[in-house]
Amino acid sequence: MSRQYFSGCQAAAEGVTLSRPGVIAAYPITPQSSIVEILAAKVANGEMSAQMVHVESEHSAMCACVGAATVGARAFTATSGQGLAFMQEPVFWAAGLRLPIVMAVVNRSLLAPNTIFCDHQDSLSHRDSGWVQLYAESCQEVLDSVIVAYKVAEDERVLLPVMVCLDGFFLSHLYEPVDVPPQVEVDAFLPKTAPKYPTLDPDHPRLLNVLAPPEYYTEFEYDKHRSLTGAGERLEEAFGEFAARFGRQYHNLEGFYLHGAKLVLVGMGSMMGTARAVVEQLRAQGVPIGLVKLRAFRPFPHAALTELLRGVEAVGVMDRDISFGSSGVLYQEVLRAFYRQERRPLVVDFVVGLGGRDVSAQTVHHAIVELERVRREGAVTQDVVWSDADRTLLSAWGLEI
Amino acid sequence: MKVEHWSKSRPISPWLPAPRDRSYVGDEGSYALGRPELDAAECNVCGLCWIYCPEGAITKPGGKIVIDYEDCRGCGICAEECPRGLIRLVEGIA
Amino acid sequence: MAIGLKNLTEQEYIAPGRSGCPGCAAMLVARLSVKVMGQRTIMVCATGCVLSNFTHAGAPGIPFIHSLLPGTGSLLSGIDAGLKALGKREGINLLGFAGDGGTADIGLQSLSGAVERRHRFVYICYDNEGYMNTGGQRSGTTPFGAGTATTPVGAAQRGEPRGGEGRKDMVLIMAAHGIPYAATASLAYPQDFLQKVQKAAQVDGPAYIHVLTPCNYRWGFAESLSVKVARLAVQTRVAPLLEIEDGRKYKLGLKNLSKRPVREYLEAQGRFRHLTDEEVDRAQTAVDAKWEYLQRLAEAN
Repeated sequence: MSRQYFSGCQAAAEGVTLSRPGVIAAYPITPQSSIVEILAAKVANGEMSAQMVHVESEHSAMCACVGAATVGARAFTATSGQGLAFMQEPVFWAAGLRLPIVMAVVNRSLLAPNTIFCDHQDSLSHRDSGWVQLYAESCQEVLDSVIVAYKVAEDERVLLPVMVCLDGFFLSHLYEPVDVPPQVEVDAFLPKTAPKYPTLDPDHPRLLNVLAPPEYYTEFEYDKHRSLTGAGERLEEAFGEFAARFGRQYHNLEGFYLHGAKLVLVGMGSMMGTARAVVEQLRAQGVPIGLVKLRAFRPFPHAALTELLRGVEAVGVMDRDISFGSSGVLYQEVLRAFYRQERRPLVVDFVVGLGGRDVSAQTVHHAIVELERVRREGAVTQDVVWSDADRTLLSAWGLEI
Repeated sequence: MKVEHWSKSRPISPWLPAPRDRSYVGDEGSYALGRPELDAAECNVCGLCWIYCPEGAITKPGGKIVIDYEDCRGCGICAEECPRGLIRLVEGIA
Repeated sequence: MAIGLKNLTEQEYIAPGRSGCPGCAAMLVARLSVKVMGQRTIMVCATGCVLSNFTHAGAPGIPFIHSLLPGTGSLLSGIDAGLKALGKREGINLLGFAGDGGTADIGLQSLSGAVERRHRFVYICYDNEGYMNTGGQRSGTTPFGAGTATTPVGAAQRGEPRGGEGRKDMVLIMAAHGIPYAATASLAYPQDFLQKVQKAAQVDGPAYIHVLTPCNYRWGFAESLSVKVARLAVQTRVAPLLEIEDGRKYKLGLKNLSKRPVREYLEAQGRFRHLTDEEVDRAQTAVDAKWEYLQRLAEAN
């Protein structure tokens, strides 16, 4: 076990190295490029023996990963924003083919307007794809998530690809101390076994990726859905084994300061670090505020969420995304969690941090104040609040909010 | 049961010649142009019909040409390409 | 040992009973190519006519995967790299199979990348000059004047308006990548076709074969004439037989074959039925110019 000073990209690359991939096929895009550069350097130095395929586009990156996985090799790719959008076709394809590919998504918003900065629009726009989605808060979590991702992806009860999401620049370019697990321990955690799914093999000819007519298409989809929902338990099992071996315990979602909390913020990604600091401060002042950090967005842990939030009066969802014409995406999932509950808290959606806008302590504080106001009034008058929008700028444009 | 060819009611390629009226349903054969019959006596098993059958319905076991009429679609390429013109397309059923 | 009509395996790798059109030349190209490449071949087939044949009925006797239409080249790359990573690359052939759409249009980018990176595979394009599987829409290889579903013959516009000069020439595009081996082949010259597939399979790197594949249904001729139209294409020099090594050494086949007028090729197909004499002359001029250009490239060696 060594302790290194890693950026999020370096931590991702380290997690990949420890997982001993067979094929790495990726295309550069800011802010992901460092991950692939580090891996290429390791291959060039002889530290890693993966096949690097320097594809000419992200669509090809995912297709190449599918190709590698269908012959039984462990595959990895990484992308952001536009790159993820460009590979949407094979992203859905990979999940439908039930291939255990792992991809690091360095969260970046989608054009237009043009941007290279962070929000969760890219990965959340792929939430329907059938991929497991994990969101990391720290560089340590990035490294550990990659290793757990392969474990869960290759589990024969899952056999679905996994996205490990880390915030662009806020996490990818942030340096933190990280404990690097020893290779021999990771090898024991992630043994290289024969693939538990049908492969392309001249000794066993098969036809892969068939047409499924309406007569049995639904059943294929149900099988995928069932495996993804069941992956929640597989994740908890993997987290448990990881904790036993490496000493760090993770869960699909984690609660902080929930004891006696009447207000709770829910969110995911690096902004939870800031949120926790603000919550800690306010708690010390006697404000009954708590925090729930989501690690797994897919499968969404609805039951665990309602369990953690039992007795809470008002929930503020921090959405670093917006589903235009409706609301933030996390908010919709939280509502679903509470729909069948007898006692439901008031829920407010705070759309924050779009396009690389920092989710500052002030933004979190503002959201908590608003949430407390809603709790006192006992009703939600405005359910989607663009809480860090600049009202001066908007009114200069003639827009009301 | 005779079924009208679908392109008669929805012409999509009007510059193409109208399709022949043929039945695709039931016990009757579904040969596009006809059922190929080989004059085996004159055949020297050059193998071109075997090479050219898109369905792989023609085989040459033990130096003789055999046509599998269940796999044959009646396209007539074998008849067209036989260098000796030994294959005739006849009206027929499978 | 050089492959030929006499020693081609009798084993069928594709089960009959498919859903393709009777007389489909594309399925014939697939059937013969797989016979040459043999049992230890992984076939990657893009969405299209041939893929539809496979997924509806034709069980392959070799491992087979359907690639996304834009991604045959990249899927081949991943399989090549994956087999290498597992130490299993030796003794396995990779065959990529796609139509003109999946090769010259939507699939061009991934094929270009795969060839540039020098992955080892044989890639065969069956060029039926349009997106036939989806109803016969025009493509980047549709010739001037051809009637297609998206360039129909009407009062204001008569077939494909884009001049023949703009038609994508895939084998020259592949040559520009410096590909070790690229060739055009024809079903009408089967011995040459089989030998080219064998040559391609022996290349330690990418190899490309372009086969002009007449489509009886969409081009408008009787099912039995698929090979005859392919023959006319070569005899009229519409589809010359070319071999290019390392992107530079050109070899033009059948140089001494007496040339037939392009009119004979055009008149055999319903999709050109509307062409005026002037348009036919224009086609003849374009074919002659291209032939002359290829001759100069061949002589430069």
